[in-house]
Amino acid sequence: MYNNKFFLNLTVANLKRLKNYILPIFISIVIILSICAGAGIIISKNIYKAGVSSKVSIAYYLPDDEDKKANNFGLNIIKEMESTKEVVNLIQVDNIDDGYELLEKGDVLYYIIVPESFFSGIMDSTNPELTILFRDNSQITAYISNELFCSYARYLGVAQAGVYSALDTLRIHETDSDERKSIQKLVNMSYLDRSLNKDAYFDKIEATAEGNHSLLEHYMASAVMLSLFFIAFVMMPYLQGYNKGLITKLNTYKTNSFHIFASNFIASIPAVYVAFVPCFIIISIITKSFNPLGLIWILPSILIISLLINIISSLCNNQFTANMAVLVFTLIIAYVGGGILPQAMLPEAVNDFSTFLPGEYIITNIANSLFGL
Amino acid sequence: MNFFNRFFVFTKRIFSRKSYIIMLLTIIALTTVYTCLPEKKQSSQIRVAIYCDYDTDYMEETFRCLDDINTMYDFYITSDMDHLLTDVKSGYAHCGFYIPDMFFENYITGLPDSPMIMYDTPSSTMSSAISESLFSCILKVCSPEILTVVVDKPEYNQELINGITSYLYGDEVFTIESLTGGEYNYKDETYKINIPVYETSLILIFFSSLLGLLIFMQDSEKNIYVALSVKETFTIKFTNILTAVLPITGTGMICLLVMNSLPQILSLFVFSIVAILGSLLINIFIRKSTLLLKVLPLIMLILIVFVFLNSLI
Repeated sequence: MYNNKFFLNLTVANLKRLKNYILPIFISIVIILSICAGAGIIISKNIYKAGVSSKVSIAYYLPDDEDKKANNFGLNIIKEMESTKEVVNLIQVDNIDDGYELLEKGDVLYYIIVPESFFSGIMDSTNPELTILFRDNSQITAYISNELFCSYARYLGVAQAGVYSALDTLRIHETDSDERKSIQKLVNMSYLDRSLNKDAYFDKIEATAEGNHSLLEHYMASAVMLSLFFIAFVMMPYLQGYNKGLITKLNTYKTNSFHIFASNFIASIPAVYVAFVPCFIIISIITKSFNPLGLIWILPSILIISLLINIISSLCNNQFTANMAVLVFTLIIAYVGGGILPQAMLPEAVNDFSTFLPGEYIITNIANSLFGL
Repeated sequence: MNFFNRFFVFTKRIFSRKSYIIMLLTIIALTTVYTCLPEKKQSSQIRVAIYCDYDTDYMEETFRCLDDINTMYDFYITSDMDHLLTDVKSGYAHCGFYIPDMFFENYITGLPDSPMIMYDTPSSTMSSAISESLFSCILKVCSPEILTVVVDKPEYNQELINGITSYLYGDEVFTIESLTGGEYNYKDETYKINIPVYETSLILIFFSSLLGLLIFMQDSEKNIYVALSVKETFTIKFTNILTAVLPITGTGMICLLVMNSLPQILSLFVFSIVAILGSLLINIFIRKSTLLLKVLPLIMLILIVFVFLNSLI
């Protein structure tokens, strides 16, 4: 019958030994966390490289007629649209020849000549033709701006169709002129709202978050996971401190390698937890978020990390091999768990594999502990 | 002659280490995987993912409209929201649109209760322009219902719908004829999945140089070289590091040659020299093998982070 009291004493002795490792653990965790968190910040800022958009320069000529105010009003609406700002660089020319010159020089890709009475023509459905000249229509930017013009024209066309249809119907039913005017105004306003007031019906979100947390928080959690695993570099002499002579002596007390493993595992739980506390404080200060419950939520991750470190330690013959095994194993589970590259960027086969490794779970648990659910 | 004898003995010794053989096999295995992988095709097509939270005819009509206008963007429906986000994050789709339950109905009545959400990343440069194509089609599809809601005379509904439909597909409203000639020709480019043979070689070269230094330090601590002069000891140290670095460098260079990465071969060679010099420099500060054993994982971690960030940014 195995003496449980002896196992308890062995564990207490192990815990006492841990005292000597507290300071190195604190120092190492700060160094390792600085490296991993620094890398995490750089990756989170660069992983989705900001695209370089090449804008299309377009020249336009507005005639100096009675519609100038209305034309300018319409043009300002287009200029203020997000899509225009994104794709197009509009250049106004004072006379028609200046536009041709810009087009010839290659300074602009398109040149739009607005005809006289353009705005009033739209209102009375004569729709005077716009002259659009182009220099090169084979580039992708030309296709994008073409698609943009067609979309704007579609908005205008739909609004016109709505107004004309309403007016026709009201005329057929001989509705009085005041009601007709009020309905026309309402129809105008409604189509203006549905086409230009897109913010009311449309939100834009950056799809960079990982789960419930921002990319930066995700990488901070990943850095904490790596740091907690790498604390094994400091703890390996502690975990592998049993030489053959000692093991033989312990065997006489019916204590085998499993008992030593269990005792080490129990003792390494507070060691990893102690390493987590400075991580928690540093990350809370950096991200200005404090989640005290996280100190309890982290426990499953602490248990898993302690267990894995102990398994690696017991499988390796010496400290050098154990340290290298921890390094390689940790990088693998961090990669597969989306801790190095976001999971969406990983090959499908790696994503399928991630279910079988604890990386993803640990990172999520650490993120929840640091930043809340 | 002495140098060559030592070189031969140290080479034999380093090859007796299992970890060293594993390092060599890692580079060879990565190169084999690279050469065996089939070439992939990548299209310059601009894909746009859409996920609609409910079954509605409006969605089908919107797609019909997008077909009619012959849009250059490739709009496609995803089976779920996760799929949409994955496609956007991975860069497969330029951006994605989530259409929530009752979006079309609320849009028609002018209730901004459930807005459509566009997901993109900082690398998406034309998502707003893409949204105009989709939004203009949604407006076109919903315009008859918008009209009936605004006029608010149910007895006129049929006439209003007939009227607007005839105007929309007639030539009395403002349109712009396409300015570009036909469809945009997407370029299909073949590429091979990038396997980090070069980066792995760099890391392993540095690791093996430190391994060579470690072997020397362990020997030295056993007082094996105590009778030798400083110059002789240095030559042995150098030979130890050199024999550890050369096979990895050679294997790495051959593998890069197989992969046709010629410019990287030279930089791998230069890095080998840097690694040897780096190890000699580290030896100035770290004189004991036990200390080197302790800081080795940290040095490797810093190197891995540096190499990874360098290839990423």
